[in-house]
Amino acid sequence: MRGPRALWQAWVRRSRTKSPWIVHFDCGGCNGCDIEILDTLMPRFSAERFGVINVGDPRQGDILLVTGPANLRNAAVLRSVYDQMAEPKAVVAVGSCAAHGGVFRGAPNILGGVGELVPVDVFVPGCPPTPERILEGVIAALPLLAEPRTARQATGGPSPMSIVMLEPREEEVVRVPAS
Amino acid sequence: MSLPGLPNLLALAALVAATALAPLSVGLLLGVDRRVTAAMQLRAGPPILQPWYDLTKLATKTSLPVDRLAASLLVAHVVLAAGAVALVLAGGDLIAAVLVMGAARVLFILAAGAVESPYAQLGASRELILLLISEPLLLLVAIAYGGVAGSFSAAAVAAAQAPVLTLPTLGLTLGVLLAIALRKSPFDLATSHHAHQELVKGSTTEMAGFWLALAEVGHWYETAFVLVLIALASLAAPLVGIGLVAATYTVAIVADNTLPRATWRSALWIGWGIGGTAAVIALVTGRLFGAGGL
Repeated sequence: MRGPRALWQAWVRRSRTKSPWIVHFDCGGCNGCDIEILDTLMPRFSAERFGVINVGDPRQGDILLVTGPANLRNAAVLRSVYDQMAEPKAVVAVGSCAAHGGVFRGAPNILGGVGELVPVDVFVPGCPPTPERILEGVIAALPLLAEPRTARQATGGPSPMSIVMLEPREEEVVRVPAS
Repeated sequence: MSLPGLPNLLALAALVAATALAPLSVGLLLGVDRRVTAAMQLRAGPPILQPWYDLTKLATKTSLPVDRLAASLLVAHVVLAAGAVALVLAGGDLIAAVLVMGAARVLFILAAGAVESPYAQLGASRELILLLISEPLLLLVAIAYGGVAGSFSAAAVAAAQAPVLTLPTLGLTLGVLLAIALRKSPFDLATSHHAHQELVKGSTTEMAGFWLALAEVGHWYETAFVLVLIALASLAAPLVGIGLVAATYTVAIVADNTLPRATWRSALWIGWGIGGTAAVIALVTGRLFGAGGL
């Protein structure tokens, strides 16, 4: 028989993982991923099943969905949006650009993936990823929301630096023909 | 310690418990509402406990800096809103309860307007228009009840025989009030988690974590207040009362889904035109046929 304190903590953990409010930030890719994120929130893919709400205020958000490559122009903005979010929070990098810079990699203003600026928890592959994959990425981040990042290890939860990488499916792999 | 004081203590405890449980049951109702709304839009919808999950999550977020004035106004808002609900549950004066709830809502508007964010200020002025639509209607409802019961005390209204039959049109007014209390329509005034609104965030822009949870509890008290007013119409026959609340709520959900692009102008017309007229008709018939007599 668990005491009231343990029951309350179980309820809090449950509530935190069942109420992921999403902050959507575009670092400046081609907007393909952003269109897919909007699709994910629409009735057809119905992210609201999982308690997802799209919020406009980073202070009210739990999961930061980032698209596009990290670049000099808005590095400070992305960092500020991340810092404004209260723990427990998680970061999901959506698409190739957010993962490693994508087609923009190597350009003079590009820093690389958004992992250069904020600690990414889940990488969703694809250019752009399908709405199902984005939803999969959000769901993969849910266990990380049960506790603040600093408290995860102490209670045997996922480690503070645990990174989930969704494996690309066969049809999502672009094969470059050997020249 | 004298025994005669005991029943009073018990009544007080029951009142406190009922006031504490009121927002929680409203949360559950809103969960059902989200499921029904989702079903009407051919979606699955979140779990029924979703509003409780949201509230717990917000309340247990790590602390965030908050505007001190806004925070204290929010606390006062929740205390007054709970007080208004407690006043009705205790069988107190309906007019006083309506005015206390009005004051609570003004405090919320001040809290929203106390911060510098232009969206919060925009949301605050929009809340003010909603208050302008609903407050006269609430007063008319209280006066109509008073006409039937011959007294403005909630206890007398609850004891009055079948005020539903003498106030046939009041349901329309209460439906309008409920639709406003739910903050789903009109789309250019309301701020809620529903996705069809003009502002992603209005009055609650600068509130986060615990303080947003507090604003949510205040909103639940406001909804509870309207629901208690509806139930008051037929406490003599509880089954009719439950049916009345369910019917009014269903009408509010259907109206919201049918008119997702209703603007503040139509809200004003429907609110004051239909809701107001219905309230005045109810007021006159209640005065003619109710216990108050001529």
